[in-house]
Amino acid sequence: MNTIFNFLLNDFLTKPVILIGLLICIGYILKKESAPKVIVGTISAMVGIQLVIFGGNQFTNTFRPIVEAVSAATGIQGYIMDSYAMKATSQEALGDRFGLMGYAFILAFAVNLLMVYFGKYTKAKGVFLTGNAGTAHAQSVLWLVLANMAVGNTTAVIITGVLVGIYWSYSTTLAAEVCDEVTGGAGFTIGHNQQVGIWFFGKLAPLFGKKEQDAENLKLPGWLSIFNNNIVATCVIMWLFVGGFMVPLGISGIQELAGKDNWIVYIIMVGINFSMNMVILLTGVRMMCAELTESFKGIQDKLVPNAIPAIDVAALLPFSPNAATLGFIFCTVGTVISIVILILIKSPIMVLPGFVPLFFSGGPIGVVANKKGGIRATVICCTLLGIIQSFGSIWAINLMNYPQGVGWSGMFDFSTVWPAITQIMRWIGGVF
Amino acid sequence: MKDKINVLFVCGYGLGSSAVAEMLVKKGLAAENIAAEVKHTAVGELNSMKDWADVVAISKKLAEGLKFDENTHMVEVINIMDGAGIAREIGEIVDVHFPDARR
Repeated sequence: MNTIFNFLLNDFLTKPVILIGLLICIGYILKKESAPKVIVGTISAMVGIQLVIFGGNQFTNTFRPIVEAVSAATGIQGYIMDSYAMKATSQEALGDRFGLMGYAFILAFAVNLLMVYFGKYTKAKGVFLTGNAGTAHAQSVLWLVLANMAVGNTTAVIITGVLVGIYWSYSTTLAAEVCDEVTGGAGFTIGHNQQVGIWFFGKLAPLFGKKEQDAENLKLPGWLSIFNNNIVATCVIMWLFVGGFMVPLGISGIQELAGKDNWIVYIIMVGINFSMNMVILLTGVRMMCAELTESFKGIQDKLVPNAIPAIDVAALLPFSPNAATLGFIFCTVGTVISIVILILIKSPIMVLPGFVPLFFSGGPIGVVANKKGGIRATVICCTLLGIIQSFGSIWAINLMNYPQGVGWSGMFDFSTVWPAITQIMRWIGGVF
Repeated sequence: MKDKINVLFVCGYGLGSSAVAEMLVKKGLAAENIAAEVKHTAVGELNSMKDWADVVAISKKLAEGLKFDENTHMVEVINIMDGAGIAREIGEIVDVHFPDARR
């Protein structure tokens, strides 16, 4: 009996793959799916999460030697701002406890559904449906709770589930009004990493410009379309920013990192490998989320059919493609300004933007700003966004309590709302 | 003539928008009595699936600068939540090029 218990606790349930596979399996069984469906779904989810773990590790392995080399040469510690960096960091920080994030995710989902179900009292209307962002929240906040409050695993999962569920319920509801304005009443809101930012800039934009000066009346250069391709965009952005970050090493320093390869080839491969790891991560997340969404969608449909679906922020991009491009460009500008300031004040921490915070915060917030305040508002708001995201990330990184992490989210909500919550957790944790 | 079309949904990372659109349009296509197999992917991985796809439903912003051959028909998506509307547009393509796919 003891051996079985031991096996379950120490060998079986501590492997994230097993824990999450179990979750999916139970979800499908509760939905009364056929045996083949349960088996296929469970194994797909497990392979999916292995791909995620692998991609995340590779991401870290590509970037860490560079960070260490630059740190040794300059004393500056570099962090990538990107959803995938946050996933990789929290995954590594959690270690064996990574599998618990599945339970935090389910609890958050349940809390979200409950709050919307009692919407008459709670005023919450949005149901968070973006699985990949949701799982990232579950694992990152789980790490933040464990790192800042001295609580056991079960308590941490409960705190995480409740906090994330409340965040999902209210941040999505806040953004609903401006989303309807932008989409002409399409009936969805945003469930991603910057919906509070969408609400915030929706309020700010009219102060900076006239909405009649619509960005869609501009003609933008065609070559900018290469940034529509996620693989190409990530590679190019990594070449620019990580390449720039390696400049203090000098050619000899880079050649040392490169080992047997020529240093130019090494720099090229850094960009290519980043994109490669992203594709691996994406494939895994796609597989895992497909199962997660399917196995739990039935519950959501039955309980709260009148809720507002909170979906991926990319849904806003088609409503104003020019504004999205401008938003991306000026968010990058704001980020570069922040980096220059950090260099000038000799900050020991440097943030390097990944593609995701620039395109998926900059783009949609550009669309919102354009709708409410025209071109001028788009330019001003998105530059401001880049600055807030960058300096907010410094704040977040200081609170994440994992200095060897490869990076953090860099998106608006994780540069503002969540560091604030983490700071409060730290004060509470310090009291007890 | 084909009696089942392959529809590929494309978005930036192949995770959020395309997955939601696929789910909603699948219902829309069933309502229109069109036989279809649906998949979703990211723009960066689109090229490897172009041969499979008869119809590519892609977000308007991402369609900039993309070219398809005459056998691949593009549907520009503005509202990913409009499952019925997108299914109708696919239906129009089906009626011209793949009439056997509509039962």
